Amino acid sequence: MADGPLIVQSDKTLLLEVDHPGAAEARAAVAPFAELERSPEHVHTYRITPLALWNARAAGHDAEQVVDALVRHSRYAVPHALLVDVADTMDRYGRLRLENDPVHGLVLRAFDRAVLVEVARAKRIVPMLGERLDEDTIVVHPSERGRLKQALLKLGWPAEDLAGYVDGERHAIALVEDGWNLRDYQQGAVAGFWEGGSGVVVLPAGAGKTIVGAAAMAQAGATTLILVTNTVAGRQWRHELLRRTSLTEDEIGEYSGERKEIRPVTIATYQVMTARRKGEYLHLDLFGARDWGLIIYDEVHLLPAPVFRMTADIQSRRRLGLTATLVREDGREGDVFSLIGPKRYDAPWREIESQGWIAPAECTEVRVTLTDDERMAYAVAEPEERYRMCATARSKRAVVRRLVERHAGDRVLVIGAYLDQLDELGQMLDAPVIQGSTRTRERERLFEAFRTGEITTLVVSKVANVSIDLPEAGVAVQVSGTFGSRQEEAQRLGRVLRPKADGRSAHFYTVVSRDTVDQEYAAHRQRFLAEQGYAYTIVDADDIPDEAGSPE
Amino acid sequence: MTRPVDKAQNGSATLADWLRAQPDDMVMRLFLLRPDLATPPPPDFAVLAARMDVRVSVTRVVDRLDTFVHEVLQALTVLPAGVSLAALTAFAGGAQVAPAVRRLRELGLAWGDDTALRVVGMAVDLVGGRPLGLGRPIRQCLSSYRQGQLTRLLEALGGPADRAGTAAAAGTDPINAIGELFDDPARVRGWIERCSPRASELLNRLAAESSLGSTTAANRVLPVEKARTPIEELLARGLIIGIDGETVELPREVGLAVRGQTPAGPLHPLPPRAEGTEIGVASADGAAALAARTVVRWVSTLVEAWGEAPLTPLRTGGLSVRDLRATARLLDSDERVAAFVVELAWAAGLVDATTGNDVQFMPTAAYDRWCTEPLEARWALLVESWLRSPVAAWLIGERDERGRQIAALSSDVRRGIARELRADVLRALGASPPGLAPSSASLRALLAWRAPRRTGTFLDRMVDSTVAEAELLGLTGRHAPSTVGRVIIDQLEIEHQDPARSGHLPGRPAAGDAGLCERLADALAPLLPEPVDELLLQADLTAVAPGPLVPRAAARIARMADIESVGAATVYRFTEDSLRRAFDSGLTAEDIHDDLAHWGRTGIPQALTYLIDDTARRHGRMRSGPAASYLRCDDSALLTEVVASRATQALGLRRIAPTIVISSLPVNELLAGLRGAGYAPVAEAPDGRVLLSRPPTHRTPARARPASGDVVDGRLAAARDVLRLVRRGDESARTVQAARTMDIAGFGLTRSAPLILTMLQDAVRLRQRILLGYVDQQGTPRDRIVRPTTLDGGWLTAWDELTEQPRRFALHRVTGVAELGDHGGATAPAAISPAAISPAATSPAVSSLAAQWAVPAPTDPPGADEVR
Repeated sequence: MADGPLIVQSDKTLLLEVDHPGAAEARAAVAPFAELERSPEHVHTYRITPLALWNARAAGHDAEQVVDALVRHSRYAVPHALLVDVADTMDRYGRLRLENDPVHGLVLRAFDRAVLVEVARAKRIVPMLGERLDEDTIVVHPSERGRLKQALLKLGWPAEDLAGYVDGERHAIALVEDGWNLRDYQQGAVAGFWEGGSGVVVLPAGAGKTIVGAAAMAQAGATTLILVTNTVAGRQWRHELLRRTSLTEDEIGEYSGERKEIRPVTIATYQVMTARRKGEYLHLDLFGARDWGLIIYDEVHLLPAPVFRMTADIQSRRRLGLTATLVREDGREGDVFSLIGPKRYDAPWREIESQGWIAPAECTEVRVTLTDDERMAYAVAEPEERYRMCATARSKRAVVRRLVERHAGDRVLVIGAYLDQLDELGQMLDAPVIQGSTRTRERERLFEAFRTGEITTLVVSKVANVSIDLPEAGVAVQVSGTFGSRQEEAQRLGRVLRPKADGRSAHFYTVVSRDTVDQEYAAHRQRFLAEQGYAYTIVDADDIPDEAGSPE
Repeated sequence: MTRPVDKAQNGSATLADWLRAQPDDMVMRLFLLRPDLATPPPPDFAVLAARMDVRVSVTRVVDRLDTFVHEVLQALTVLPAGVSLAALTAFAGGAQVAPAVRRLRELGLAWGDDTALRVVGMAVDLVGGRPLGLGRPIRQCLSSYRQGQLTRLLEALGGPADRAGTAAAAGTDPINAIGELFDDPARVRGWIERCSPRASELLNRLAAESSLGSTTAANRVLPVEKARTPIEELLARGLIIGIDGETVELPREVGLAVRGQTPAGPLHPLPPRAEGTEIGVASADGAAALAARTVVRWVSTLVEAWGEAPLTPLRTGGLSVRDLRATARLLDSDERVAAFVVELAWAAGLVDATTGNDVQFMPTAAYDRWCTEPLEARWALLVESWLRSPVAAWLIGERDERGRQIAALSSDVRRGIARELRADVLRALGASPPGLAPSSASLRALLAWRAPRRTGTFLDRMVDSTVAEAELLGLTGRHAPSTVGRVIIDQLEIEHQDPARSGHLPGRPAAGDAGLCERLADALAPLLPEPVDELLLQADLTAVAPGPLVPRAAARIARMADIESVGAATVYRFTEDSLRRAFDSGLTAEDIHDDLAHWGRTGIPQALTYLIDDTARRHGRMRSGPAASYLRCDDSALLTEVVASRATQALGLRRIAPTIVISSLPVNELLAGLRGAGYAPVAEAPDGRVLLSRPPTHRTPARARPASGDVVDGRLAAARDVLRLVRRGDESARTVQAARTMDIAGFGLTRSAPLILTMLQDAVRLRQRILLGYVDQQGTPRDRIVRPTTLDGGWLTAWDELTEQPRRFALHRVTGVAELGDHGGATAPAAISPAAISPAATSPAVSSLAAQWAVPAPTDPPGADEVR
C-alpha cells in the first residue's frame, strides 16, 4: 500500500490531498475520468460518474488505465466493487457505434450482439432504426443520428459516433499572431477537439475561449456558425475575430434581433434561434442557410433546450462547445454529451491561474449590520419580499461607497439585481448604470469608455453576468444577486478574472446584510467559491476604513 | 457377499471384546469423535458396541467421511470379513490405505487389527448394495429372473443340459447353481474372453461406471447363437443380468473380473487441486482490511439507529420486511447485506429483544463496551460470533414450507447444521495456496471430495452465502483468504483435527475462543491503516479526516458535523444544523473551537469560525418550557407581591418576565388558590377573552319528538314488537341471572373447548336451545340464546332468538355453552359462559342484552300493548 495522495471513497468520490508531493501526478492521472467537484485549499474532491468515465473512454482512455491510476495513487486499498463497476461502466461505451456504410449510409453497428438486440427492442429506439442488414448492423435514419445517441445514452449504452462529418464550404481563415501567440493549453484544446471531431472544451472564464474558437475555425478552414448568448457577446466575438484572424468585416455577419446577415462566418444569438411565432421557430433555416463546416456553441452550459433539438438534426457537422463548466443547473449534461460531443479538453482553474493567465482573486464578504428600523421592516416583510428587503438595504450604500473609494485607482464594477438599488447607487457614485433596457449601442459605448479608462466605475445589472469582456475590471462589488445561484457567482467572478496588464490581483466583494436570508444566500455562494479554491474572508463593514473621510 | 458376523475368525471375536482390549486413549478418542456414544455413559462394552451400530449414529459419521476414506470403507464391505490390511491394499490397487483404515477404526466404523479388519454392520447397509460402482453379487441380481430364464441361462453357461435338468429335478435352486459357477473367478474370466469385441467393450464400460445400464430389452435371455446385439449377447452369456424391463446390471463377480488388477476401480486418495485466480496475499489483505472496517461501520450505524428508534418485532417474531428495507437504505446496500449485518449484530450480542410484553429490538449494554474497543477488537468479536452462529442469513426473504417469508432475527433462520457447514466451507477456502482466490467450481469440488455423501440445495446456498459473508467480513479479500482469514481457518483445522478443542461438543463452551478473538485482533491490527488524529479543515466548511480517525476524535466530530462521504477517509460537513446539534448536546462554541484547533492540522478557516460563532450566538436566544397556567398583570409591583406572599407559596409560581408569572397548577386551581390568598384574578380563555366564572350547568341536545301523525296501527305494531322483545329479553335475563346464581352456587362451567364442541354437537343433534357465550368481532363478550342447526368447518349455524334469524358463529370465538330447557327459561342451565361471570366485565351479558333491546324501541314506552 503506497502512501499516495489519493483516497478512494466507497461513494465513488476521490479525495486528493493537495499538499502531498505526488498530488500533481495523481491529479493528472485522475482528471481524465473524474469530474472535479470541489477544490478548496487542502483536499480536492473528484467524482467518478458514468458520464465522466465515458468522456474518458471517448478520449481514448481504457478501464485498465483508470484502474491503474486509482490503485497506483491511492493511499488505502481501493474498494474492489468500485473497480469492477468502473470497468463495467467504461465497457458500455462503444459497444455500439454509429458508422458510415458506403452502401447503406448511416448504420448502427454492434460489437456485442446482445446489446444490439436489447436496444433494438427499446420502445424509444425502434422508430429511429431502419432495415436490419445483418446480425450486427442496423440502418439508422440519418435524421435520427442525434436523437438516437440521446436515447442510447439514456439506456446506458452510449454510442461512439464515427460516422464522420461533412467538410462544409471551404473558406480560408488564418490566425494573425502579431504580438500574441496561442497559449499551450489553447493549442491543446484545439488539438483535442479536432482529433475528437466534435465536443466540448472546458476553460475557465478569462482563459481565452474566444481564441480557442478562432483557432478551431482556422483549423477547419470552413464557413462557421457561431452561437452566442446575446448581442453584446456576439459583438465581442466579432471584435476578437477581426483582431485575431485574417477575417475582414465583410466576412463576418451578425444574425440577431436587429440584423439578419448571413456571411461565411455568422454570429447568431440563442435568443434569435429560439424566437417563435405561432409555435414555429422562425430562424431554423439558419442551420441550413449555408453549408457550414463548423458550428461553435459559446457558453454551452446555457444552451437552451430548443437549440438542443435543432442540434440533434445537424449531427453531420462539426460542433465545438465552449464553456467554463459542464455543470448545468437543469441537469442536462447528458444531452451536451450526446449532441455536442464528449469533453475534449479540461483544465482546472487554479492551474491556469497559477500559469498567470487569470488574475488571482481575493474574495471578501462584507457584513453590514442593518439599522433597527431596517431589521424591523425585514422582520415583518412578506416571505417573497424578504430577500429584496435585505439585499437592497440602504445600509449597504455607505459600504459600497467606501469600497469604491478604497479602489479609486482601479476599474470597479458594481453588480446588482434590483434596478432601483442600482439607480440609487449610480447616482451616489456618479457612475453610469447598464441594465436590460440600455440600448446595445449605449452599452458598447460605456464598455468602451470603461476599457479606455474614461469611466472607472460601472453599475451593471444581471445583463452583465455573461459574455462581456471587460479585461481591465479589477474590482467587483456585488450588492445583490439571484438567490445564491452558483452559476451566477462563477460568471460574476469571471468578470474580474481577466489577467491584468500589471499583474495585480482582482478583488471580489460581496456586501451582505447580517442575520438575514442575504447572508444565507451568500453562504451558498461562498461555499461555491471556497470549493473553487478561492480564499474567502469575511469582514465587518465597520472594518472597511472610510478613506475619503466624507460625512455619512 | 453380505456380512453375517462370522465369529470363527481369529483375533477378537466380537466388537465388544475388541473394544475391551483397546487402550484407554483409543476409546476416549472415540467418545470425543462421536459424543453421542458417550451420552448417557454406556454401562459396559456390549452396550457401547450395540450403540456403535445404531443407524442414526453411524449415518452421522459416514456422512462426514471424505471421499477416500469412504472408498476404503466401501472396499471393506466388498471384501470378506476379517480381511487383512495387505489384502485390502492389493484390492485398492496398491493405494496407501493404512491411514484411511486408521481413521475408520478411530471413528468406530471398522474394527479388528490389521490382520483381520471388519466393518460394523450398519456401515455396510449405509454404503449400499453397489459399493465402488460394483454391481450386486450374481445371486442377488438373479432374483428378478423367472424360472425359464434361469434354466436357459444355466444351459448357456455350459452346465450340461442334463445337469440343469438334474439340478431342477433334484430341487436344487438354479440361482444357487448359477451362483456356484460364478464363484470361480477363472471360469468368469474364461467367459469374458469368449465375448465378441463389442460386447467386451460394453463390459469394460459398465465396469468402469456404475455397473448399471439402460436398454429396451433387458429381459430377453436368448441362446447365445441368436444374440444379435452386444447386449443380447451379454445377457445370453449371463455376464449382465436384466434386473427390470429397462435396466441391466453387471454382477459383482463379473465386474471384479473385468477390472482385473484394480478391482476397486479408480480411487481418489488426494483432494482435487485448488484452481482459481491469483490475487496475491497483499492485495487480499488490503481488500480484507477495507471490508473489516466497512462491516464494523455497518454494525455501528445499525445499532446506533436502533438505539435512537428501537424496532418492534413482528408478532411471529423477527424483523419486518419494511424494517429490513429501511435498514438496507440506512446502510446504503442491498437487503442481503442488511440481513447479514442485522444477524451479525444480534449474534455478537450487540442488539437484543427486550423482555416483557412490549418486546422491542434495541442495543444491549454490551454495545457501549464494544464501542470503546479499538476497531480490530470490535471486528474480532463480530467474526468470532459469526463463526459460532447457527444463523443461515441467506434464508431471510426466502419462503418456508408454508410459503411464508422468513424474517430476519426469527427462529426460522437458525439451522443446527449451519455452523458446521460454514466451518467446512471456510476450511475448504483455506485449502487454496496463499494469494489464490479459488473458483466456485474448485471450492465445490473440494467440498464434494471432503464429504461426498453431503449434497442438496441447502448446502449449495450455504457455500455461496459463506463465501459472500467471508468476503464481507474480510476473511477473504477479493475471494482469496486473507491473513486474518487464515487465523480462523487454522483454528477450524485444529478443531477439526482435534475434536477435544472443538466448540462442537454439546454442552461445552467453545474452547480457546477468547484466545481466538485476541489472535484475530492481533492479526488485523497491522493490516489496518494507521489511525489519524488530525483533520483538514477547509473554507468550504468541510473537514476531511484523511484516514480512519481515532475513536475519541471520531465521536467528538460526529457530534458537531454531518458525515458527507465515507470510505477510507471521512468527509464531514459543518452546517448550522450540525452545529446546533452540538450546542444542544451541551458543547459550547469554545469547546468546538478548542477541539478543532487541537485536531485541525491546518488551522480553522475564517468561514468556519464565523459559522460557529454565528450559530452559537443564535443558539438559545429563545427559550421554551412547560407551564400549566399563567398569571399576567401590567402592574409588576402587584406580581412581586403575589410571588412574595406566603399564602401563594404552594401555587408553584415562577416569574419569567416582569409582568408574567407561570404556575405548574391548572388554571382553576391557581384561581382558587389566589382567591384564597385574597386576590381577585380573572380567568382568560386561550384566545384572550375574559371568562366569567358562573357555576356550570350541563345540558344535552334535545331529542327530536316524533311526528304526532303516526297511524295507530303503526303504533300498535311497534308496541307489539316491543312487548315481544321485552318478553324475550326478560327470559334471557332470567336465564342469565339463573345461570349466574348457579355459578355462584358452584355448578360446573363448560369452558373447555372439547366439551363445548361435544355440547354443541349434542345440541345440533337434539335441536336443543342453548345459551352461547360469544366474543363478537369487536371483542365484546355477548350472550346469545340460540338453537343450533349445523356445525361444520369451524362454524356454528344457529337460529338466534334475539334477531330471529339464522346466524353463523365462529367456533373459536365461543367462550362457553349452557344448555337451556325449551321456552320458559326456568330450566337450570348446565353451565354458563365465562364471559357472563367474568368479574371484570360488570355483567356484560345483561348490559349488552339490555342495550340491544333498547335499540329497536325508541318511539313508544314499553307497555304500550297493555294500554290497548
